[in-house]
Amino acid sequence: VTVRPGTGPDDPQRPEGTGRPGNSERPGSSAGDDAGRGGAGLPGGGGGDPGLQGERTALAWGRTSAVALFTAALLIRAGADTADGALLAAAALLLVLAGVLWGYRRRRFGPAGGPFTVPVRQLRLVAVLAAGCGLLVLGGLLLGPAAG
Amino acid sequence: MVREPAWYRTGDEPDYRFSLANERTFLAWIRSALALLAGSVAVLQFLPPAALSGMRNLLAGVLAAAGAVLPLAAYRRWSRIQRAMRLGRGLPFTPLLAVLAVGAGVLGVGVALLAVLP
Repeated sequence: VTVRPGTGPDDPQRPEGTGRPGNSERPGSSAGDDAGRGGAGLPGGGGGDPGLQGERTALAWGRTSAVALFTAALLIRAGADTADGALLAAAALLLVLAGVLWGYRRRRFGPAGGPFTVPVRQLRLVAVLAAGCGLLVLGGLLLGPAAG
Repeated sequence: MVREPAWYRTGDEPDYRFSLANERTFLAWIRSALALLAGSVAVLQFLPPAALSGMRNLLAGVLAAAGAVLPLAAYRRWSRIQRAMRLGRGLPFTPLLAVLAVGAGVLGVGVALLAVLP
């Protein structure tokens, strides 16, 4: 069985309960890699996820989503105070970003989550959304009512 | 749908743990960028509009610009690391860390000065 990266997390072929992320199903790709790495046999290793990598990554996505939410709240406050539309638009974009981050976290790490693929599209979307927020805030500061 | 980058199928799939660690590092950069944006707004909102109000706007502008650039730099760095891991090469050097550290230090001094100056 070869796992094609980028085929998306919803793979119906995935056997239930294996808990083995994607590329370990590629024979020979990391043969013997688990031995001597230390984490494999630890208690709480999460069924073949040494170091709880999946859980830590899920937490990182959730954390980032929370930060986006808090930043959006701050921008809504600032935008309302200064009647700056650009700041409010940036806040709206941040809410979208928070939703994207949380939605992907659920889809990928939730109960029905699929194998770990390298989420190149999602990361690019996240980067573009965050950069767009930055541009809007910058524009609001340079051109908006608060600039004076 | 966005096209996948050229490196996406070169070399070998790295250990998934390293891929996930790389991904978490990217997300940490994104959080840093969002924090810079929050800082930019906070500078405008909470610092007194003193004689150095031009300085205040400059500070907020630099913070916001950094918040706009950092996510793209983070994506570029993530993809370069992923590519290096696929090809079994050493990880690329980045000046990003030093730039962020020095920049945050300088801006912090600026904010402190503005906060205490009349």
